[in-house]
Amino acid sequence: MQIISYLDIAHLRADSYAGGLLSVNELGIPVEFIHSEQIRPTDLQASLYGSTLGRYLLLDVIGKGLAEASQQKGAPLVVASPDLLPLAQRVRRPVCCLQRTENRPLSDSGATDWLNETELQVQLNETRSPLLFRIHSRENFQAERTVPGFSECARSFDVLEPLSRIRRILDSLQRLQAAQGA
Amino acid sequence: MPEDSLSGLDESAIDAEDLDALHASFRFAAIQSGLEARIRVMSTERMQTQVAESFSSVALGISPPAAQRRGLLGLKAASPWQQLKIPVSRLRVQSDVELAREEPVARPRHFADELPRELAAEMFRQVYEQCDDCDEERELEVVGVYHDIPPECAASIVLEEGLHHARFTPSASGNGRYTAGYSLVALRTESGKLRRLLLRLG
Repeated sequence: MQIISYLDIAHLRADSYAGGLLSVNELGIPVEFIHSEQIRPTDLQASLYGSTLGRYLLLDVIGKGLAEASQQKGAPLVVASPDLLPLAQRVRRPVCCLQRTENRPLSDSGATDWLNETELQVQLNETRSPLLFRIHSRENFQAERTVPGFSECARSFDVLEPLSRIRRILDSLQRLQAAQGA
Repeated sequence: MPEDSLSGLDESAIDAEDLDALHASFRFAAIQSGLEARIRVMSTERMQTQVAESFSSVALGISPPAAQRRGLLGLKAASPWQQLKIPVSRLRVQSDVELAREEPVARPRHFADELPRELAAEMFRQVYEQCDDCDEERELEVVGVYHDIPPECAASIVLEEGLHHARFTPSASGNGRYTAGYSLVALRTESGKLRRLLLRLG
Protein backbone atom coordinates (compact mmCIF):
# COMPACT_ATOMS: atom_id res chain seq x y z
CA MET A 1 0.00 0.00 0.00
CA GLN A 2 1.37 3.39 -1.00
CA ILE A 3 0.94 6.06 1.65
CA ILE A 4 1.53 9.80 1.41
CA SER A 5 1.36 12.05 4.46
CA TYR A 6 0.40 15.70 4.38
CA LEU A 7 1.17 18.34 6.95
CA ASP A 8 -0.35 21.76 7.39
CA ILE A 9 -0.07 24.17 10.28
CA ALA A 10 -2.65 26.90 10.64
CA HIS A 11 -1.92 30.26 12.18
CA LEU A 12 -5.08 30.90 14.12
CA ARG A 13 -6.47 33.85 15.92
CA ALA A 14 -4.63 35.36 18.85
CA ASP A 15 -1.25 34.12 17.66
CA SER A 16 -2.05 30.51 18.26
CA TYR A 17 -1.18 27.63 16.01
CA ALA A 18 -2.58 24.19 15.30
CA GLY A 19 -1.28 21.49 13.01
CA GLY A 20 -2.76 18.50 11.27
CA LEU A 21 -1.14 15.52 9.61
CA LEU A 22 -3.22 13.45 7.21
CA SER A 23 -1.99 10.19 5.72
CA VAL A 24 -3.82 8.78 2.73
CA ASN A 25 -3.53 5.57 0.75
CA GLU A 26 -3.17 5.18 -3.00
CA LEU A 27 -6.87 6.00 -3.42
CA GLY A 28 -6.57 9.19 -1.40
CA ILE A 29 -8.61 7.67 1.44
CA PRO A 30 -7.46 8.73 4.92
CA VAL A 31 -5.66 6.01 6.86
CA GLU A 32 -4.56 8.32 9.67
CA PHE A 33 -5.30 11.81 10.86
CA ILE A 34 -3.65 13.40 13.85
CA HIS A 35 -3.78 16.98 14.95
CA SER A 36 -2.29 19.09 17.68
CA GLU A 37 -4.19 21.14 20.14
CA GLN A 38 -3.86 24.86 19.75
CA ILE A 39 -0.54 26.22 20.94
CA ARG A 40 -0.30 29.79 22.01
CA PRO A 41 3.06 31.10 23.13
CA THR A 42 3.06 33.45 26.07
CA ASP A 43 4.27 37.00 25.80
CA LEU A 44 7.39 35.99 27.66
CA GLN A 45 8.12 33.17 25.27
CA ALA A 46 7.47 35.46 22.33
CA SER A 47 9.90 37.92 23.78
CA LEU A 48 12.57 35.33 24.46
CA TYR A 49 12.40 33.64 21.11
CA GLY A 50 12.03 36.83 19.13
CA SER A 51 11.74 36.46 15.41
CA THR A 52 12.62 32.76 15.57
CA LEU A 53 9.48 31.92 17.51
CA GLY A 54 7.34 31.11 14.48
CA ARG A 55 9.99 28.95 12.91
CA TYR A 56 10.60 27.12 16.19
CA LEU A 57 6.91 26.50 16.74
CA LEU A 58 6.23 25.36 13.21
CA LEU A 59 9.24 23.11 12.83
CA ASP A 60 10.39 21.86 16.19
CA VAL A 61 7.23 21.88 18.19
CA ILE A 62 4.29 21.16 15.92
CA GLY A 63 5.80 19.79 12.71
CA LYS A 64 8.30 17.48 14.30
CA GLY A 65 5.87 16.59 17.06
CA LEU A 66 3.20 15.48 14.62
CA ALA A 67 5.64 13.67 12.34
CA GLU A 68 7.00 11.71 15.27
CA ALA A 69 3.54 10.91 16.56
CA SER A 70 2.42 9.57 13.18
CA GLN A 71 2.21 5.84 12.63
CA GLN A 72 3.22 6.27 8.98
CA LYS A 73 6.82 7.10 9.68
CA GLY A 74 8.27 6.01 6.36
CA ALA A 75 5.76 7.75 4.13
CA PRO A 76 6.83 10.83 2.19
CA LEU A 77 5.64 14.01 3.81
CA VAL A 78 4.09 16.77 1.72
CA VAL A 79 4.15 20.06 3.56
CA ALA A 80 1.79 22.91 2.86
CA SER A 81 4.42 25.61 2.79
CA PRO A 82 8.09 25.88 1.79
CA ASP A 83 8.69 27.25 5.29
CA LEU A 84 8.20 23.70 6.56
CA LEU A 85 10.82 22.13 4.29
CA PRO A 86 13.56 22.28 6.97
CA LEU A 87 11.58 19.53 8.68
CA ALA A 88 13.69 17.32 6.43
CA GLN A 89 16.52 17.89 8.89
CA ARG A 90 14.38 16.75 11.79
CA VAL A 91 12.50 13.70 10.56
CA ARG A 92 13.57 10.56 8.75
CA ARG A 93 11.25 10.64 5.79
CA PRO A 94 11.25 12.40 2.45
CA VAL A 95 9.84 15.92 2.74
CA CYS A 96 8.62 18.03 -0.15
CA CYS A 97 6.34 20.91 -1.02
CA LEU A 98 4.27 20.62 -4.19
CA GLN A 99 3.22 23.33 -6.56
CA ARG A 100 1.26 23.29 -9.79
CA THR A 101 2.87 24.57 -12.94
CA GLU A 102 1.63 25.48 -16.36
CA ASN A 103 4.71 24.15 -18.05
CA ARG A 104 4.68 21.93 -21.07
CA PRO A 105 4.32 18.23 -20.18
CA LEU A 106 7.55 16.25 -19.97
CA SER A 107 8.07 13.18 -22.09
CA ASP A 108 6.41 10.41 -20.08
CA SER A 109 4.49 9.85 -16.89
CA GLY A 110 7.04 9.61 -14.07
CA ALA A 111 9.64 11.66 -15.94
CA THR A 112 11.64 14.10 -13.82
CA ASP A 113 13.52 17.24 -14.67
CA TRP A 114 15.82 18.80 -12.08
CA LEU A 115 15.67 22.58 -12.27
CA ASN A 116 18.28 23.04 -9.55
CA GLU A 117 19.45 21.35 -6.35
CA THR A 118 16.15 21.80 -4.56
CA GLU A 119 13.52 21.85 -7.29
CA LEU A 120 12.44 19.25 -9.75
CA GLN A 121 9.53 18.92 -12.11
CA VAL A 122 7.74 15.61 -12.18
CA GLN A 123 5.30 14.43 -14.79
CA LEU A 124 2.63 12.61 -12.80
CA ASN A 125 -0.08 12.65 -15.41
CA GLU A 126 0.44 11.97 -19.08
CA THR A 127 -1.56 14.88 -20.40
CA ARG A 128 -1.28 17.59 -17.78
CA SER A 129 1.44 19.96 -16.71
CA PRO A 130 4.19 18.61 -14.49
CA LEU A 131 4.17 19.31 -10.77
CA LEU A 132 6.98 21.25 -9.16
CA PHE A 133 8.53 19.42 -6.22
CA ARG A 134 10.42 21.69 -3.85
CA ILE A 135 12.68 19.79 -1.51
CA HIS A 136 15.21 20.53 1.20
CA SER A 137 17.94 18.24 -0.08
CA ARG A 138 18.39 15.43 -2.54
CA GLU A 139 19.69 13.20 0.23
CA ASN A 140 16.48 13.54 2.18
CA PHE A 141 14.07 13.30 -0.73
CA GLN A 142 15.64 10.39 -2.63
CA ALA A 143 13.72 11.11 -5.81
CA GLU A 144 14.40 7.75 -7.42
CA ARG A 145 12.60 5.96 -4.61
CA THR A 146 9.98 8.57 -3.76
CA VAL A 147 8.65 9.77 -7.11
CA PRO A 148 7.24 6.39 -8.25
CA GLY A 149 4.96 6.38 -5.21
CA PHE A 150 3.59 9.78 -6.17
CA SER A 151 3.07 8.57 -9.73
CA GLU A 152 1.09 5.60 -8.47
CA CYS A 153 -1.13 7.77 -6.29
CA ALA A 154 -1.58 10.38 -9.03
CA ARG A 155 -3.33 7.79 -11.15
CA SER A 156 -6.23 7.95 -8.71
CA PHE A 157 -6.20 11.40 -7.20
CA ASP A 158 -4.79 14.87 -7.36
CA VAL A 159 -1.83 14.59 -4.98
CA LEU A 160 -2.24 18.20 -3.89
CA GLU A 161 -5.88 17.85 -2.91
CA PRO A 162 -5.50 16.31 0.58
CA LEU A 163 -3.90 19.53 1.82
CA SER A 164 -7.19 21.34 1.35
CA ARG A 165 -8.90 18.68 3.45
CA ILE A 166 -6.52 19.28 6.36
CA ARG A 167 -7.19 22.98 6.27
CA ARG A 168 -10.94 22.44 6.28
CA ILE A 169 -10.67 20.05 9.21
CA LEU A 170 -8.49 22.46 11.19
CA ASP A 171 -10.94 25.27 10.47
CA SER A 172 -13.87 23.17 11.64
CA LEU A 173 -11.98 22.13 14.79
CA GLN A 174 -11.26 25.74 15.54
CA ARG A 175 -14.91 26.68 15.09
CA LEU A 176 -15.90 23.79 17.32
CA GLN A 177 -13.50 24.85 20.04
CA ALA A 178 -14.64 28.44 19.77
CA ALA A 179 -18.25 27.34 20.11
CA GLN A 180 -17.42 25.21 23.14
CA GLY A 181 -15.52 28.08 24.71
CA ALA A 182 -18.34 30.54 24.14
CA MET B 1 -3.37 26.91 27.08
CA PRO B 2 -2.92 28.74 30.39
CA GLU B 3 -0.76 31.81 30.52
CA ASP B 4 2.59 31.19 32.10
CA SER B 5 3.71 33.60 34.70
CA LEU B 6 6.98 34.40 36.37
CA SER B 7 5.37 35.74 39.46
CA GLY B 8 6.39 33.75 42.46
CA LEU B 9 9.56 32.51 40.80
CA ASP B 10 11.88 31.24 43.50
CA GLU B 11 15.47 31.88 42.47
CA SER B 12 16.83 29.45 44.96
CA ALA B 13 14.99 26.71 43.15
CA ILE B 14 17.01 27.33 40.01
CA ASP B 15 20.13 25.20 39.97
CA ALA B 16 23.34 25.90 38.13
CA GLU B 17 22.33 23.96 35.08
CA ASP B 18 19.17 25.94 34.78
CA LEU B 19 21.01 29.19 35.11
CA ASP B 20 23.34 28.17 32.30
CA ALA B 21 20.33 27.54 30.18
CA LEU B 22 18.87 30.85 31.17
CA HIS B 23 22.05 32.62 30.14
CA ALA B 24 22.06 30.88 26.79
CA SER B 25 18.53 31.86 26.09
CA PHE B 26 19.03 35.46 27.04
CA ARG B 27 22.14 35.71 24.95
CA PHE B 28 20.02 34.52 22.13
CA ALA B 29 17.25 36.97 22.89
CA ALA B 30 19.79 39.75 22.97
CA ILE B 31 21.18 38.77 19.62
CA GLN B 32 17.73 38.67 18.19
CA SER B 33 16.55 42.05 19.07
CA GLY B 34 18.83 44.00 21.17
CA LEU B 35 18.26 43.74 24.63
CA GLU B 36 17.14 46.07 27.23
CA ALA B 37 13.44 45.86 26.85
CA ARG B 38 13.79 42.17 27.36
CA ILE B 39 15.82 42.53 30.49
CA ARG B 40 12.88 44.25 32.13
CA VAL B 41 10.91 41.10 31.72
CA MET B 42 12.97 39.51 34.41
CA SER B 43 11.53 39.79 37.80
CA THR B 44 14.55 39.85 40.03
CA GLU B 45 17.66 41.92 40.34
CA ARG B 46 19.83 38.85 40.41
CA MET B 47 18.57 37.73 37.07
CA GLN B 48 19.11 41.16 35.59
CA THR B 49 22.70 41.01 36.70
CA GLN B 50 23.19 37.59 35.20
CA VAL B 51 21.64 38.65 31.95
CA ALA B 52 23.78 41.77 31.76
CA GLU B 53 26.86 39.61 32.21
CA SER B 54 25.61 37.35 29.49
CA PHE B 55 25.31 40.21 27.06
CA SER B 56 28.93 41.09 27.52
CA SER B 57 30.06 37.56 26.91
CA VAL B 58 30.60 36.00 23.52
CA ALA B 59 27.40 35.58 21.60
CA LEU B 60 26.53 31.99 21.11
CA GLY B 61 24.83 32.46 17.78
CA ILE B 62 22.64 29.43 18.24
CA SER B 63 18.93 29.08 18.04
CA PRO B 64 16.74 27.87 20.90
CA PRO B 65 16.26 24.51 19.20
CA ALA B 66 20.00 24.14 18.86
CA ALA B 67 20.43 25.13 22.47
CA GLN B 68 17.89 22.53 23.39
CA ARG B 69 19.70 19.84 21.45
CA ARG B 70 22.87 20.73 23.22
CA GLY B 71 21.20 20.35 26.54
CA LEU B 72 21.05 24.03 27.31
CA LEU B 73 17.31 24.09 27.43
CA GLY B 74 16.66 20.52 28.36
CA LEU B 75 15.77 20.95 31.98
CA LYS B 76 14.28 18.96 34.75
CA ALA B 77 10.57 18.51 34.61
CA ALA B 78 9.78 20.39 37.77
CA SER B 79 12.04 23.33 37.14
CA PRO B 80 10.56 26.81 37.19
CA TRP B 81 12.59 27.39 34.06
CA GLN B 82 10.04 25.23 32.28
CA GLN B 83 7.90 28.33 32.26
CA LEU B 84 10.18 29.92 29.70
CA LYS B 85 10.45 27.21 27.15
CA ILE B 86 7.83 25.83 24.87
CA PRO B 87 7.81 22.20 25.84
CA VAL B 88 7.81 19.88 22.86
CA SER B 89 6.90 16.94 25.04
CA ARG B 90 3.72 18.69 26.02
CA LEU B 91 2.40 18.85 22.47
CA ARG B 92 -0.89 17.08 22.77
CA VAL B 93 -1.74 15.10 19.70
CA GLN B 94 -5.15 13.68 19.00
CA SER B 95 -5.88 10.97 16.51
CA ASP B 96 -9.18 10.93 14.66
CA VAL B 97 -9.21 9.23 11.31
CA GLU B 98 -13.01 9.13 11.27
CA LEU B 99 -13.08 12.90 11.34
CA ALA B 100 -10.88 12.93 8.26
CA ARG B 101 -13.07 10.38 6.52
CA GLU B 102 -16.06 12.65 6.91
CA GLU B 103 -14.30 15.21 4.78
CA PRO B 104 -15.26 14.91 1.08
CA VAL B 105 -12.58 13.68 -1.29
CA ALA B 106 -12.41 15.47 -4.63
CA ARG B 107 -11.63 13.70 -7.89
CA PRO B 108 -10.63 15.83 -10.87
CA ARG B 109 -12.43 15.56 -14.17
CA HIS B 110 -10.80 13.86 -17.11
CA PHE B 111 -12.13 14.08 -20.62
CA ALA B 112 -12.78 11.00 -22.69
CA ASP B 113 -10.02 11.89 -25.12
CA GLU B 114 -7.53 11.96 -22.26
CA LEU B 115 -8.05 8.29 -21.53
CA PRO B 116 -5.83 5.62 -23.02
CA ARG B 117 -7.46 4.27 -26.16
CA GLU B 118 -8.33 0.85 -24.71
CA LEU B 119 -9.83 2.36 -21.59
CA ALA B 120 -11.91 4.79 -23.62
CA ALA B 121 -13.20 1.95 -25.82
CA GLU B 122 -14.15 -0.06 -22.75
CA MET B 123 -15.92 2.92 -21.26
CA PHE B 124 -17.98 3.59 -24.40
CA ARG B 125 -18.86 -0.10 -24.68
CA GLN B 126 -20.23 -0.14 -21.14
CA VAL B 127 -22.05 3.16 -21.63
CA TYR B 128 -23.81 1.82 -24.74
CA GLU B 129 -24.71 -1.37 -22.91
CA GLN B 130 -26.22 0.40 -19.97
CA CYS B 131 -28.02 3.10 -21.92
CA ASP B 132 -29.18 1.03 -24.85
CA ASP B 133 -32.70 0.67 -23.53
CA CYS B 134 -33.23 4.35 -22.86
CA ASP B 135 -35.20 5.75 -25.81
CA GLU B 136 -34.83 9.38 -24.99
CA GLU B 137 -31.10 9.09 -24.62
CA ARG B 138 -29.94 8.07 -28.07
CA GLU B 139 -27.42 10.88 -28.09
CA LEU B 140 -25.22 10.88 -25.08
CA GLU B 141 -22.17 12.98 -24.53
CA VAL B 142 -19.48 11.99 -22.06
CA VAL B 143 -18.79 15.22 -20.20
CA GLY B 144 -16.46 13.90 -17.55
CA VAL B 145 -14.70 10.85 -16.18
CA TYR B 146 -13.67 10.73 -12.51
CA HIS B 147 -11.31 7.94 -11.58
CA ASP B 148 -11.25 5.67 -8.56
CA ILE B 149 -14.48 6.40 -6.80
CA PRO B 150 -15.23 3.43 -4.54
CA PRO B 151 -18.68 1.97 -5.19
CA GLU B 152 -19.12 1.65 -1.42
CA CYS B 153 -19.32 5.45 -1.34
CA ALA B 154 -21.66 5.80 -4.32
CA ALA B 155 -24.46 7.24 -2.22
CA SER B 156 -22.34 10.21 -1.24
CA ILE B 157 -21.17 11.25 -4.72
CA VAL B 158 -21.74 14.87 -5.57
CA LEU B 159 -20.88 16.38 -8.92
CA GLU B 160 -19.61 19.88 -8.51
CA GLU B 161 -21.29 22.61 -10.48
CA GLY B 162 -19.18 23.09 -13.57
CA LEU B 163 -18.24 19.41 -13.34
CA HIS B 164 -14.63 20.18 -12.48
CA HIS B 165 -14.70 17.71 -9.61
CA ALA B 166 -16.74 14.84 -8.25
CA ARG B 167 -16.75 14.49 -4.50
CA PHE B 168 -17.46 11.52 -2.30
CA THR B 169 -17.30 10.99 1.42
CA PRO B 170 -15.19 8.02 2.57
CA SER B 171 -17.23 7.59 5.75
CA ALA B 172 -20.24 6.74 3.56
CA SER B 173 -18.68 3.34 3.04
CA GLY B 174 -19.78 2.38 6.50
CA ASN B 175 -17.48 -0.61 6.71
CA GLY B 176 -14.12 0.95 5.87
CA ARG B 177 -13.83 -0.99 2.61
CA TYR B 178 -12.99 0.82 -0.58
CA THR B 179 -12.86 -1.02 -3.89
CA ALA B 180 -10.50 0.37 -6.49
CA GLY B 181 -10.98 0.44 -10.25
CA TYR B 182 -14.37 2.16 -10.53
CA SER B 183 -14.81 5.41 -12.40
CA LEU B 184 -17.72 7.76 -12.43
CA VAL B 185 -18.81 8.72 -15.93
CA ALA B 186 -20.93 11.84 -16.28
CA LEU B 187 -23.15 11.91 -19.37
CA ARG B 188 -25.30 14.64 -20.82
CA THR B 189 -28.43 13.59 -22.65
CA GLU B 190 -30.04 15.25 -25.66
CA SER B 191 -32.48 16.95 -23.36
CA GLY B 192 -29.63 18.38 -21.29
CA LYS B 193 -30.09 16.11 -18.31
CA LEU B 194 -27.07 14.79 -16.52
CA ARG B 195 -26.68 11.06 -15.98
CA ARG B 196 -24.09 9.31 -13.86
CA LEU B 197 -22.73 5.84 -14.27
CA LEU B 198 -20.25 4.10 -12.03
CA LEU B 199 -18.27 1.76 -14.24
CA ARG B 200 -15.48 -0.67 -13.58
CA LEU B 201 -12.76 0.34 -16.01
CA GLY B 202 -9.39 -1.29 -16.44
